[in-house]
Amino acid sequence: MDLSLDDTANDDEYEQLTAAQVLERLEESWVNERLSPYLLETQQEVVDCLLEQCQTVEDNFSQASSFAVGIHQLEIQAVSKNSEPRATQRIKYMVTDYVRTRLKKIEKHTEYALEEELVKDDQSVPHLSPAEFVYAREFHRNTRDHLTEMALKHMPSAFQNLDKQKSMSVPNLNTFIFFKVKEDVNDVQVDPRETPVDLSKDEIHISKYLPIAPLLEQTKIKLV
Amino acid sequence: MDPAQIEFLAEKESISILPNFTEDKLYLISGEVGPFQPQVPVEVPLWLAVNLKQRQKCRIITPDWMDVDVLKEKKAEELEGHLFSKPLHPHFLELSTIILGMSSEVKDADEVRTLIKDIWDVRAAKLRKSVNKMINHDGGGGKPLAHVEINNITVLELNTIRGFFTASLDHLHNLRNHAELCLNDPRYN
Repeated sequence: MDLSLDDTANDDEYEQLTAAQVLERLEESWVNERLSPYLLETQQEVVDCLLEQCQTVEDNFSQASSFAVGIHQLEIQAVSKNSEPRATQRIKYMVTDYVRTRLKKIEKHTEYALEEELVKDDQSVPHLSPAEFVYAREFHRNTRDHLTEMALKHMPSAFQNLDKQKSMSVPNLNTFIFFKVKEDVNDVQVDPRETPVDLSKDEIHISKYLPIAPLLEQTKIKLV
Repeated sequence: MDPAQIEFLAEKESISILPNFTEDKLYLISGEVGPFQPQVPVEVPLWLAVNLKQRQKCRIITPDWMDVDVLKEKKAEELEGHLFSKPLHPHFLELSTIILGMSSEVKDADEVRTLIKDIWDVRAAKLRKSVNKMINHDGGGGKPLAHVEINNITVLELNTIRGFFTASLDHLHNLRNHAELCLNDPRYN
């Protein structure tokens, strides 16, 4: 079961992944996203690809035996009466929670996310997907309008300004995280005041998020 | 993360079952399973095993490590060293809880349950001890700890200390950085 995954950011990079590998990718991105202090690169293409795959499976239900349909539904999504709903919606649960986690972060750090996106040049990969960007902009406008309508308008004119720099919620990128090494990496500067360390596969480390963030984007490590 | 989400991750681990029905190979998104034939062991993800078991379509084969002798040995090993020994399975607590809850066929179930709990407790005690050590760590000259390697720990164990531990380290770093700034500031000297 081969399906191609066209990387929109890099047209010449063409990846061939099986559905199982795509699923694995989503799982890793989901866990990373849950545990990182700020948004990671969007994995929109993984989400789309997987949902498409689910759709294909669901479309073929008419040809399958009822037993097979039951199991497929269990993997994708199904509401069965004799067990908890959470256990029965594996793939869609993961997709929804991934998207929800990202939206929560966007809502928390709206201004920061928008600013980040604006300073980026065309070459770099955006953190937000187009849909998320639109959402962030809307959310930001609505919050600002709401604050102005409800409170600022009624203040003395000297206090009516909303200072963006001061009101912005900035994520703490220096927070500590746990990570597991997926590929050997040598000479990593985990702390500016310490000597670089070598990371070997399967080791688990604790360090600050910021110094290792590039390794996370390169999927050389994963958060645990 | 939510402990339930870690259980969710554990549910994709594969386990052997003895089906009591006949069915062709299934091509799931996460991979192929089957074919199923009565009394022929087959490997399936745990979530599928749980569902089939609930519908009384299979028997779960207890994993090798859920055995009294293996667990006793592990417990002894765990008690010996200061460091974490390699866990029997990266999701040993989640898996054993699910299997013990589902299947009445585990041999010496009560003893297995107690031993797993013992192993978990020994490891938890080690974890608390090392957390204490790490927080009180003084890398010379009041330099805060910035990086630690900690191996053989399971995801569930990490999760039990995550919130409290990372938050404490964050605070310590903030305080120490401020202290450093003050020490270097002539106004305070």
